[in-house]
Amino acid sequence: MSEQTLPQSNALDDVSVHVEERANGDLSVYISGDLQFDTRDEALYHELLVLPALSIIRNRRSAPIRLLICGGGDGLALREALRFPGVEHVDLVDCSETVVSLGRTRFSELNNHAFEDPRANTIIADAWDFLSRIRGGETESYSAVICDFTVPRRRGDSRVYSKEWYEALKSVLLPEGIISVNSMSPQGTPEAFACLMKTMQAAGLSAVPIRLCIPTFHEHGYGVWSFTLCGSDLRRSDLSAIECPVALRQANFSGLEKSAEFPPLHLESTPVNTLLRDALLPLLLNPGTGSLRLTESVEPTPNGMPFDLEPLIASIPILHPYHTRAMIDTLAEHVAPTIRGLDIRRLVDELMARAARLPERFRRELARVRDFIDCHVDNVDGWMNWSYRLFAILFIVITIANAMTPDAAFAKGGFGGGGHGFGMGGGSGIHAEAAAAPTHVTESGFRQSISANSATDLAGHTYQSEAFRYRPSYWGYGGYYGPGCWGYHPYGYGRYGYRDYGDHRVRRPAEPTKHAPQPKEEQHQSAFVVAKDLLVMDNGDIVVKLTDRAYLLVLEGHVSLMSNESQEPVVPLYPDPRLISAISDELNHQKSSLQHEVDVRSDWLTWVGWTESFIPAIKNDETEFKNLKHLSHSLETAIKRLGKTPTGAFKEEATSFGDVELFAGCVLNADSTVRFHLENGHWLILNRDKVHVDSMSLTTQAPTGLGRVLPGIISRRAIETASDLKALDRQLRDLENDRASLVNDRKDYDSIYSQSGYDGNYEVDYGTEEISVSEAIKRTVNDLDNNQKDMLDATAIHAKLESESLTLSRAAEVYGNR
Amino acid sequence: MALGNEEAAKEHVRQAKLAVKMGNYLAAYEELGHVDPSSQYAEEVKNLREKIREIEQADLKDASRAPWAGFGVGVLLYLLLSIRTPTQWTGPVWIALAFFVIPIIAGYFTAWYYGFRCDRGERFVPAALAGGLAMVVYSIINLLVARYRIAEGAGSDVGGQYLAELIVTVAYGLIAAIVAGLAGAARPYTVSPDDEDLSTETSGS
Repeated sequence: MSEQTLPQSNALDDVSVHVEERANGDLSVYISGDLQFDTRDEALYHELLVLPALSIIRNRRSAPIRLLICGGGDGLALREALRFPGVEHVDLVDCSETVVSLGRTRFSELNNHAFEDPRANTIIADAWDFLSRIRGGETESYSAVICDFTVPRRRGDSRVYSKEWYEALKSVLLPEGIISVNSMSPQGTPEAFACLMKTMQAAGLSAVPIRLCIPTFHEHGYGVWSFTLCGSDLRRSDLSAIECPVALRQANFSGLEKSAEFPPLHLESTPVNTLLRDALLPLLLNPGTGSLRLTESVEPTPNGMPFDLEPLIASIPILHPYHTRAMIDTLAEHVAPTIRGLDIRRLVDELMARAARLPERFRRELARVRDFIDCHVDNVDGWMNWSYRLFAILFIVITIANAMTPDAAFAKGGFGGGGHGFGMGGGSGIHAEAAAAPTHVTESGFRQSISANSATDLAGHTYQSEAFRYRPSYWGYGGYYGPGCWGYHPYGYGRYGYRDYGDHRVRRPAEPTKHAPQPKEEQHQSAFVVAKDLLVMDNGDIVVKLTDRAYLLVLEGHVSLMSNESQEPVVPLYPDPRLISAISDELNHQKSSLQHEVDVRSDWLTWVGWTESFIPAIKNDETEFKNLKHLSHSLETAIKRLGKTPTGAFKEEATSFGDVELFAGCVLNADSTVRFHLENGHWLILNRDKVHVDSMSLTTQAPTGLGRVLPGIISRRAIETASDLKALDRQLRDLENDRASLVNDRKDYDSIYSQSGYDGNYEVDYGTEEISVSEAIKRTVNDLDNNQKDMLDATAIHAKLESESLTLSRAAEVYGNR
Repeated sequence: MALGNEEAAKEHVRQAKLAVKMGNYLAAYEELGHVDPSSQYAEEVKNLREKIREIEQADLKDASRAPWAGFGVGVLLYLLLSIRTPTQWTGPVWIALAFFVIPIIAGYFTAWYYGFRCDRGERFVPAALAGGLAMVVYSIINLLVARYRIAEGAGSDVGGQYLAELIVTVAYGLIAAIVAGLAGAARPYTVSPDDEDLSTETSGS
């Protein structure tokens, strides 16, 4: 036995031909590794490929037969065709000159020198190109076409099994013509076989496949083989009428119709092989997988590995004839160890090296990830397990707790808000300097009995109680104008005093008379410290402390400037809605907080209250509960006594530059006069030691009370303004520093921009980011603009405060010595 | 066999069936042991023994599960009670629900699950366990939550509060246990309708 592999002859001839010659003279021919024929049974193959088609044609028409053989360069199909009676002309098209050359020489004995027959016309060309060339030309149509191609093994090979190919064949075929196709194995590659059937149907051909067992093909593992006859109106019954006029050496046509019996093919989900969609080759190379298998999703498995590799490996398609399943399986054996063999630490280090160009903050986060992996990578699995368990437990506990007590489970409700100032201060004169109100009852003050001389705040801090003496009944029946209380009436603010100016909410005062009852003087202690300057008296009255000598008494919707040295109001003021509203809000807020504390202690004591007799801690809890309840009651009383916030239109008095609002309802003008917003809406003007009402020309001596309280108020306001000025100076310095820094940044970015050849995309550091230089310049300019606005605002406020400070200095000189 | 022996066997079988109905299985076995194996009641004795064994096994299973079933019912009811705080329920309503209604339901359910075909004293223990434990769980959780909601200040005595929680939990648990136990034992001894097939009439002549 000798073997000979012949070289390729040209570019078209991209095949390798291997001839295996045995000692007995038998040959086996392989093209690109696939068996083409074996002399022991090649007659069976070629007789069945050629003669049934010609026999059917002979039955259908008596005219001479024109035949086209595509492939079959070995000349064996040509041999069979030429010995069939009536064959007038045969065109044989084969792309391989090597194979045709072998057919002319080495296989000439086998093919009976078919190539020398004058009826045979051999064309060395690509069959597709040949068909394209003759389509639509004047070439006479063929009676039959024999497709003796090798089975497709590479991308592009399957185009001569495509729908377009069969449509082209149909166009060069007589209407009653027959095509005979070497149609692979319905046993070894059933999906590909079905695909071919569907493709022929799609091309408008009736296909009748014939299966047969070719022994040498079977030896090579190709399985049962098949040929397919197709034509415009071909039926399986056509096979029964075949009478072959030539002697058959190996084939037997008597059982041909039976050989054409196939189980039903399920073509619904089978793809059609077209030029655009090469469906045949994957099915040929991956038999048994099915077309859908290649796109199946891979489900994770519970065995700890992220995925089971088996389906993943099985889904890798074979796209080359020498690429075998065994190769993939061998590779798969190494995949898992390879993945496990990855050095994660080194990988992260490499990533860190790459990440060196990232922003600093991002790099820090990555470094933390690396440290974590270094410390925990060996225990990650265990850590994950415990995390899941912990999460599950937490989830259950929180769910149950939330169902039972939503507030406790998610810390909803509780306390909040901050404090307000109620005395003097910049701006409105309402919200300023006072300390922030406590937001939570956390101290122990309530756990003891609170003495009568103590005041507490919301946090339970105790303070020395302060006493205030005043006549609260003044606001009840107008006794303010009574004898002994010289108020303003003696100074002649109109016949009925200033209450005659239309405040209908206040009862008209009684005429001053010596027989009117003297209002009773009362002394009350501060019981609750709402804020640093806001106190609630033991009877629920509210005091806003201005200085040690002066305070505002807020009672039943009335506000009065009071002095510690007198029980009568120094000036009854207009109830500024802003002041009343601010006090009301703060009282309600703290009352709400207290009520919550009372409620939760009530719950607690419902459970354990009966143990107070023998457990001191619970007794303390009970005391705390009572104190809180008492305090809550006091606050409630205070809210009631505060009265409603005035709803009438409040016209805020315009202040000019340099004016200072000393407190709500009192403005110090730049010319050192002081305006008091009176209860009836008019303004009382104090000019040094004289007063007058804005609408009246009569000027009288200022009450002595004013002289006592005003210097302290001005002095305190001056201290506050000086403090505000200091803070503002610091803020201005910071803004100037920021501006200088921004200007430098701008210069740097401009410089980088010019040095980069005006490339706006050049990356630069911007804080913790890396952004383009054009973006950096844009942001810097924006920051400069904002800085400029802040500077302007701060400068304006500074100027106003300076002006106010000057006003206060002048006023201190005017009123300070009184 | 003499007629006198057959009469005696019939009487033993009847007494055995009565003993089964009373829940006294040992006595039933004893009565069946007196029946002559050669008598015509031998087959009935065999069947009766099988029946007693099945009843015993079923009772054993029910008895072991009963406290847990009652506990589950109790916890479920207390969970519903926890939707509102005692203050929100108002004192009398809360006391009625927490110390009477729920323990009674839990205790009675336990006894029903346990089976009324046993002495009251025998039913008291599982019912008391179920009701008491459910109250303990309810008390512990609610006390923890209630104490958590009170902001702990410098003056608060956490140790004292823990002690109070412990005392309250034990006391309330005991009260609920007693009420539940009494509820479980309240119903007198009852023969279950399931036992109707144990006819006192013997099949023999």
